[in-house]
Amino acid sequence: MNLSQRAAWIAALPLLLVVALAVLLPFAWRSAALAVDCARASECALRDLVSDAYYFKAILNTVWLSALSTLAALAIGGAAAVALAEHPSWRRASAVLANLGANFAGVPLALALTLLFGVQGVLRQALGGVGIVLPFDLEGSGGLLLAYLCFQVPLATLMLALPVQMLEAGLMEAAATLGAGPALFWRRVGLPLLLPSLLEVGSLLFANAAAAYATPFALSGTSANVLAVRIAALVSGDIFSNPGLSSLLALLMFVLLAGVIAGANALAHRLRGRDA
Amino acid sequence: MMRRTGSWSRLALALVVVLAVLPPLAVLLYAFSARWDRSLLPEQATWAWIAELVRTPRVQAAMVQTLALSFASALLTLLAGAPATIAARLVSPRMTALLDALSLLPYAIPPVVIAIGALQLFVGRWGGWLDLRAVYVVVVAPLLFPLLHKTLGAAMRQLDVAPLMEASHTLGASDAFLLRRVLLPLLAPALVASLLLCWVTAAMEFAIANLLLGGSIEMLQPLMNGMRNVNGHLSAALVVLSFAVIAAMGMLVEGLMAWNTRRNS
Repeated sequence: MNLSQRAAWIAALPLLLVVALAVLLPFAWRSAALAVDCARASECALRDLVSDAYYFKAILNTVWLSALSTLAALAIGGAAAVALAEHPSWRRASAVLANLGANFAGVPLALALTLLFGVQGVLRQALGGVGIVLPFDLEGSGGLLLAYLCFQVPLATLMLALPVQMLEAGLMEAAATLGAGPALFWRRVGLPLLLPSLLEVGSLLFANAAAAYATPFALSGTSANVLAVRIAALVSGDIFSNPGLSSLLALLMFVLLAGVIAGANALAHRLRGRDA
Repeated sequence: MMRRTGSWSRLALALVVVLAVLPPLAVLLYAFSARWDRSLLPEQATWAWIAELVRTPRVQAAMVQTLALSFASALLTLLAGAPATIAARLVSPRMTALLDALSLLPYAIPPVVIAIGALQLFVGRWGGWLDLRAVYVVVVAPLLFPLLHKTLGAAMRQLDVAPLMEASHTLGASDAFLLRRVLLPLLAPALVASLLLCWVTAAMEFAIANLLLGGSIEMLQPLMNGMRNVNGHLSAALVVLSFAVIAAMGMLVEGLMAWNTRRNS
């Protein structure tokens, strides 16, 4: 028997079935129920969304938290990747630590940050003892941003290490031979060449932050006003439930994230094509 | 001599290390100290929390449940996903593109959305005749597939299968023979590595474990979260224990992949 296209598709069938059943079916079913409700104009969740600024705030919070943590992670992680490209001997240890940081999210991270920066947190107390008052409170947006940075920055470092390393090899030396300093090199050569990778990695970081549920939930419970927590609380919350609105928010989140990922990938593809 | 970019990149690296290391370090210290509320430094090193943890039946039960269910999910991912990734890489670039897109799906439809959808449809609607554990195992699998696809894909790129296939065709061997006698043995370490990777990832998953199983089957991550409010030291000890297991598995994965690279080169 030789492996034909048809046989390959048959081999892939179980996987496609699992994905269709576990991910697409519930998602489509909920979206269809939402569409039916709104077409009948009986209990359209769209009205709830428009009438309640709280949910708009959740969308806004999600977007700015994700965008800001992504931009900061790209800047810090990218710079760290440059240091790693220049110091090969640091790479292994740094990769291990960054891996730990990128995976230390959710409940463990919330526990750690409460220990350090909570109301009774040791760092908050110690800094307070010398007269420094931390400008954020852990349950608020500042705390969420700090938490997101704790896993986004190491993740960005991991994902950018290889693209930066491939760029650095030789190019910078060539630029230096021609008299270009590091600043000129990065502005005119390094960053433009790195842009496609930055876009791709950035879109995944953005989605990673927007999808984060465990971290905000463990830090401030259902009062964390970000999309992921709202989507869950509207169905499983004890106080009041509105499955239609939850479906609508999930749909909006899908459009937002799919748009960001597809857009960034298309742009990166075009930029690469132009350089080639 | 290479031109250095100066101190800012090293400063950024230091910041990365601080952000990555400070939280785990805090939890580690808390798990091994009798108390840490009076000063900047924890007091009295102790194994008591770890010892109490491993003796607690509730923790043992959650540990067993979590390891079993997450292993089932990882195994399902391997059994359903590996044939797809291997076949796609062998004969169909179009299918590879589709699988690449499927790997991005959990980013656009995140775990919390999957969990709520499953909760409403599989538990709310069809809960009467669907087993909750089975639902959990199937629902987690698509989240794990990207890990498998990436690990296995990298191993296959490294193998460079096209010449192998050509050679076996020239010698008159069928693809089934090539798969059984050449490819699968060569890919075995990568397959085991992806299984372990999927297993630890599933075991540390929170959203689906909490939303779908919460209330009926207690998993490690929700238990960890619940324990925070009762005894932070115990919760910290559980985090340390989990990450110790993850680190051990991670070393195993890395060892397997390194051995695979050496063997195949």
